[in-house]
Amino acid sequence: MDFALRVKNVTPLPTPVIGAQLIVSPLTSAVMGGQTGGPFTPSSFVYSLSTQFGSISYSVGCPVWLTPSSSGGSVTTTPTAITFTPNTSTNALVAGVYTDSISFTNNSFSQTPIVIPITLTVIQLPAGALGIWYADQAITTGGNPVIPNLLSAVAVPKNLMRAPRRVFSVAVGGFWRSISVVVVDNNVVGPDGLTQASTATCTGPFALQYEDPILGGAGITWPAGTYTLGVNVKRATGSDQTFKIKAPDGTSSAAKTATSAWQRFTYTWTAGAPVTGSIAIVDNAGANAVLAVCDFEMFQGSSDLGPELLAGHMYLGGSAVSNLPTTSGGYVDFTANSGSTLAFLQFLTPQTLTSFTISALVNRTATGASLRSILEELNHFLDFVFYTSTVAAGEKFIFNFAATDPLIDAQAGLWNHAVGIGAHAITVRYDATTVDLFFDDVRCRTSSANPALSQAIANLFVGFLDGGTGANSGDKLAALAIWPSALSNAQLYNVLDIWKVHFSSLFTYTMHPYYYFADGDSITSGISNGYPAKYGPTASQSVFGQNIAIGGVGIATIAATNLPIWTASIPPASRRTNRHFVLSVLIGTNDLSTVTGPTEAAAVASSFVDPLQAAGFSVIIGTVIDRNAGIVNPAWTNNALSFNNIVRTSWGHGTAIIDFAANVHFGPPGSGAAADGTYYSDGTHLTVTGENLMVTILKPVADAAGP
Amino acid sequence: MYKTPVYFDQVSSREDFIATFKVYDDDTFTLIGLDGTVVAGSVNFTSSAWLVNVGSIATTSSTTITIPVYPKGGELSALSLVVAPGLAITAGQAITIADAATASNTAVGYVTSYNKQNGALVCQIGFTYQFEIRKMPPNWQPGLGYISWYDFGVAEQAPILQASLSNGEIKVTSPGTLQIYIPERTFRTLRSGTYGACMTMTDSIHTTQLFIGRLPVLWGGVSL
Repeated sequence: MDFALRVKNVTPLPTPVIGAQLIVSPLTSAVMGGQTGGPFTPSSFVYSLSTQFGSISYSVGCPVWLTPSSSGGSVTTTPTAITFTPNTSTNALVAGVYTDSISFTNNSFSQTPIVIPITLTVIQLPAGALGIWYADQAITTGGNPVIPNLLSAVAVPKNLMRAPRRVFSVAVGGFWRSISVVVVDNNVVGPDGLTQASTATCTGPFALQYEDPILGGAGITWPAGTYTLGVNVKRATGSDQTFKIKAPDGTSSAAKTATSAWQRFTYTWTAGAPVTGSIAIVDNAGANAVLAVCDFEMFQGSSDLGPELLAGHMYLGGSAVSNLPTTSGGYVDFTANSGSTLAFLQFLTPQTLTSFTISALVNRTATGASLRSILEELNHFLDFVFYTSTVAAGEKFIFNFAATDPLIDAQAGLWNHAVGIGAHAITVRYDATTVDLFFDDVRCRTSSANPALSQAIANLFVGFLDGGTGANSGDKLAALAIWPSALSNAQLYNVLDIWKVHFSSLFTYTMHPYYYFADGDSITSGISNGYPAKYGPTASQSVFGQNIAIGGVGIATIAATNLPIWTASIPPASRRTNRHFVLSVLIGTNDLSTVTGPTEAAAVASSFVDPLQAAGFSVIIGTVIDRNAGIVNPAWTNNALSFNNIVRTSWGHGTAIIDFAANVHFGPPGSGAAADGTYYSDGTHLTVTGENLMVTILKPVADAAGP
Repeated sequence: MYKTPVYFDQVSSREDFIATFKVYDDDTFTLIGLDGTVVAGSVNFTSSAWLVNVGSIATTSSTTITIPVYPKGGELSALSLVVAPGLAITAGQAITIADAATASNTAVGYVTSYNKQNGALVCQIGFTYQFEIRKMPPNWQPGLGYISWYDFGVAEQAPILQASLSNGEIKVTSPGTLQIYIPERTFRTLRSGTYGACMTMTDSIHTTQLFIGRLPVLWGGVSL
């Protein structure tokens, strides 16, 4: 060391300050939604707080309709979870979208508060629903899954026996066999006041025996455990009657005495190992009996949880050991077991509806030309008793329901099959006059009323998504709802919005952005062929749509027939944000022999294109082509040339022009274009080569009008 | 302690100039922290996860930074790192950088610039130093007559040699200890005579004169 310095007035370097940040995870915004009064989904959300070093204090801010598990405190490097839960204020919110934020403040060090946006969507379901079921709320513990009816205040006891529990004379769901017993269903007022109890008149040794047709009749194997049987019984004759309750292990209860009043009888039994056998009400030492019976149920454990009230809960399969169908990921999965059934105890009792709306949110997990189309699922809402996929005269639809049953993707008018992938709502609405089918918010079919349309609700459900016939659908059910009335369009849209919010944390349900439709005369017609059908799969964006051109008619007929279909199909402007409904129109050929170009152009504009534009379509209009007409009818040629020139230059209607006639193979009219016949099959209609060439002219215009 | 000039030992112009000295606070008699860093281990510490405190602002940085062990040069004299944008950070604020894992490896200094748009921050960790050797004014004695150096308006003589952290000729070799090392190939520039040898240090905000010295340089007498 050479020397040492003693320095005066030196300012030392700053003293280290080690202050940590408040860390919030995740930083993504929270989305919550539900119906007025709740429940809300998700039922809560969690943010994790921590710091990099040491300990800091924090405080939490949030809207009044959320309650944080902690409003402040200290946090270390070990994450602390803060849970936000809706409270009574949330339940009181009226329908609407509430945007707010929650904030986390570092009170130990200066740090910009971390603000997390939160959106709460409160939607009011249309009133009067019979039930709404969300598969993500399935109760999967303790036996077969049950999806509660959200509109029921009644809890969900899990009857382990296949439904029904009030029907003993026929095989519905579970299978009841009567031996020496005459059973009459629904002829006795039950303990709940409904005439849904059955009379069992026993003239000898008897049993009302529960079996399971899917699992092998009486050969049901029940897992080891304790079970409790319960049944409501009273005598159906003038004197008291006796009977016993038999368990699958062969044991039976002590003798029970049925009196003139309804009583609940129970029998608890325990199986140390899996046991195979039937469950039954049996005679007491061979004594005859005349009984009134209802609500025969079995529950896991030593308690009788019945009688199960008529709450309309959705039971998957039926017995405790049934494996059909499954629930996972928020769906009822029909893809693995095509024979899956749903059982709705409430609705097994026949109920006749004179109007109804059924809507289901279905997630399509597979697609392909050989798969049953999702539209077929829509059809299957009605595919029983009164309705088939056959199109009746005068029916109006914009998708192809005319194909054979089952309707597969290749026939369905889903020009891009992949469009069917993902979540879609399919809805049937019947108002005693017409049946409307909706694919998401697009009305895709209207049928005239069938006089025999009044339907038992049970049949409606059995017919839905059973997958029992035809090709695999590849579908999973996320939500189902039914109203005993025809909902308005606005109400239906509301339902779709509810589902969008409800399932937002599980999957994205959005309305498709691009629809392409076509209209015109015979040059355009053709569902699975024709240039529109050839455009669909090649569009720049995933597209679905349909072509409802009518051959042999002019603009007046096309407008009168199809304009109402289009305008009723397209959702309102409020639902078309960032969505495109493109309609290509090629009309005029059948009018221009007698109608001048200016007159026809004016008619097309006023009777068809302008109303379509006003309804929300982007109408792209084609110039007319027809080699034959141009050759044989000079007047047509002059009118067509005039029409095309007007459309091209001074028309001012529609969104864009598809100038088919500008192509040397199609025009101009009267030029004898494509005299080699390559592009026209008969001088008027197109060959496949011609259709393919038309697509090349259509595609850039349609793509530009799309997303 | 410039009130009492430092008189360096005489040194040849044909040898390395090495001066090692400790710096104490005249009031507390403790060594002055010169480099502003603490390394918990015995080797350089490198990390990409840092806690950054500027005033009362706590933020983080994922910039890869190495805090060296002794001897320390100018590695951190203009340290660039990226922190969160939009913070209320201004030049001249004290800054502490600590590793996020243990906070036991630290660096302190002052912010020299901060880009609010992209979070780019530049700071000076510890002090920087300036050592210069200049010709002394002529010794004036009665009877010498006019000497141009004292004439009004004549500029101060430019430094002949300069040493700093940035040119590697000054290092902090241990806590409170500085070493000036000017190699002979540079030092031979000097001719025989007594030179002024002065040194300052600054943390970018505060500047202190360490010493004002006299350095007698002898003719080395060899050709190298």
